[in-house]
Amino acid sequence: MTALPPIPLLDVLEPASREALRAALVLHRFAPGDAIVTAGATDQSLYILLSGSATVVVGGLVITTLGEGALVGEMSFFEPFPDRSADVVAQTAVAAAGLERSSYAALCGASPVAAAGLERLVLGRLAARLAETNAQISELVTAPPVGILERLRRRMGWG
Amino acid sequence: MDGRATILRALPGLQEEPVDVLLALGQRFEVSLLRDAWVCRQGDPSDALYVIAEGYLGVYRGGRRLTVLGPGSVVGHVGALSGAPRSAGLRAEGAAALMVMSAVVAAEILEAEVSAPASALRRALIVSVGRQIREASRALVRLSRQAEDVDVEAALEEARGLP
Repeated sequence: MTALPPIPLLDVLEPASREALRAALVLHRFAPGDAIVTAGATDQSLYILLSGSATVVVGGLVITTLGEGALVGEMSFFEPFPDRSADVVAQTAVAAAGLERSSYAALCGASPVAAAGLERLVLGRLAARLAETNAQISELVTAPPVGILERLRRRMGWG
Repeated sequence: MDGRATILRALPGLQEEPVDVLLALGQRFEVSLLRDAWVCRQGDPSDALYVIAEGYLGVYRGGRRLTVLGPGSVVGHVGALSGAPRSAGLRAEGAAALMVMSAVVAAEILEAEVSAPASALRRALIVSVGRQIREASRALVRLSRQAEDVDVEAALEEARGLP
């Protein structure tokens, strides 16, 4: 099995918890264009992106691009009835550390401090993402529409 | 199982929790009863999170009611977690019973506590915030498409005005 590289995201955990969590992670590699998670799927793996980038696509629209240190699949990870909400597609070659739901359950028993650290990490990330999404919505609702011709004028330097 | 534990069991992510965990978590909440009154107003400090036990809360922003939340909803947790002021006001529509956890208690449990009730609360909030993100993402896609439509209309308008 390939050893995991250092994961800076986990530096917030104290060493014993960090090692317990690392021991539960498995290295995955994705080629450009590979689906890391697929909308509607019911699997429950969580991934930490170690290198490369991936796009998050909802309803055919690219919502955001994720890079090193991003979490993927964390929204469904704790759901009682998981249902992936978005496609996450590797934009470049991606290396990711994956955690299975069953490994998290084992971690809760073996190292509750590490499990609590993971939960705090996920909750913090999701709260930040919700704030970011709400800010994008506010911007769309309040910004005046800019016409296509105006965009063309700006891009081409017309008048 | 007491009333608070029964209400907590209805929350997404807590259906499978053991009774003793729900009882212990329930004790960390206060109960508040109110009728046709503001729970908090937009811009207020985010000093608590709420679980609606009975009744309905209207969510108000900029004087408009955006939505109404019913029993089993967790609300006010994003502000309580981030420390940001309330992004929306909450008002009891008729009679409502709320389970209230102060932001100070929530921070203690979520940030420092290693226990089954603390883990249960973290997971319930993760599920709740995750579902809000799903709804917000769908709204974002809808609004983006509407904005594109507006662009096309604006382009046509501008094209009609060209010489």
